[in-house]
Amino acid sequence: MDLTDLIASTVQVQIRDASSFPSTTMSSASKSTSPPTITVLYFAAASTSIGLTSEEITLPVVKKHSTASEQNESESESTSGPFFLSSLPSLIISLHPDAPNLKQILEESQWSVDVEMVDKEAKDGGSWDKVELRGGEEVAVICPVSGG
Amino acid sequence: MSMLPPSASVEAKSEASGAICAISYTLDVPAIIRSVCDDGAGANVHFIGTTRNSFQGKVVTRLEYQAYSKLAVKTMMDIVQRAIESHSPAKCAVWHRIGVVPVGEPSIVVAVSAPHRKEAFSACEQILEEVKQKAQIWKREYYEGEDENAAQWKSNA
Repeated sequence: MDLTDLIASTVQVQIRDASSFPSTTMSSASKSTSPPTITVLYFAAASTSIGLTSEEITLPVVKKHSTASEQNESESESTSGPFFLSSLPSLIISLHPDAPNLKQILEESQWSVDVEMVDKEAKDGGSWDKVELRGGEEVAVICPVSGG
Repeated sequence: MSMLPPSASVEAKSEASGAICAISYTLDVPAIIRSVCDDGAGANVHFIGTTRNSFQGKVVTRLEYQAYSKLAVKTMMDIVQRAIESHSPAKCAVWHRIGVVPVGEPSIVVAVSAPHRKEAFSACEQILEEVKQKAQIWKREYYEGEDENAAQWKSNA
């Protein structure tokens, strides 16, 4: 997903000059009419607690003050800021307030985005408070594992 | 309430040169062992993990496994590739079962062949330990006489 977005945003500059290309790109399609959603997968203790094995979650609008990105060129009102993976646990808890022990389960869990593990504490910019969710991602709650 | 397993917990396989990592509902142990046979490898080491009948004095009636399969086989293949770099085995196969595993039946098989036994043992152990630590697979243990809905998901940590 990330590579496609990267290609689309790279190509966008050329699309404006070439009328034979379609006018919609990946980056504008994701914010056209419906709000962005992610698919969240639950396993093991998380799924037992919540009572679901997956759900679609709508990403909330995050108020943003600066409008520096090129996506804002076609919009007149304020746009939403980035929603980071680290904000997802509290969102999930708010959606399932009666799920037993969910807060602790999520605190003990790791996370994956689009089939890649995310290091909660990575020092190189890959940590989960820098992993942005834009819509369309498959996010999984990875409780402590017990294979073998 | 009895939930269906996650739709992401399915059969999956990842193959590379000299390596197979798979998740499936059944394990054909003889076939897995045969898959790592290699004329250049005189040492064959196989680890088979089976469901034990007790845990801390409680009688285990069955285990259930589920996996985030497409990520788990990716993780398993990374683990195997690291073992290949460290110990240069000839062939490796790691298979993990999902679904219900009755007592006494295999849940995981790690099979390794190498020219000599030292590398075969080392690679097999390294793969097994890392799979237990990292693969996105979960085990739920059911005990005799206990409410099934309260069965705990185990943790290897």
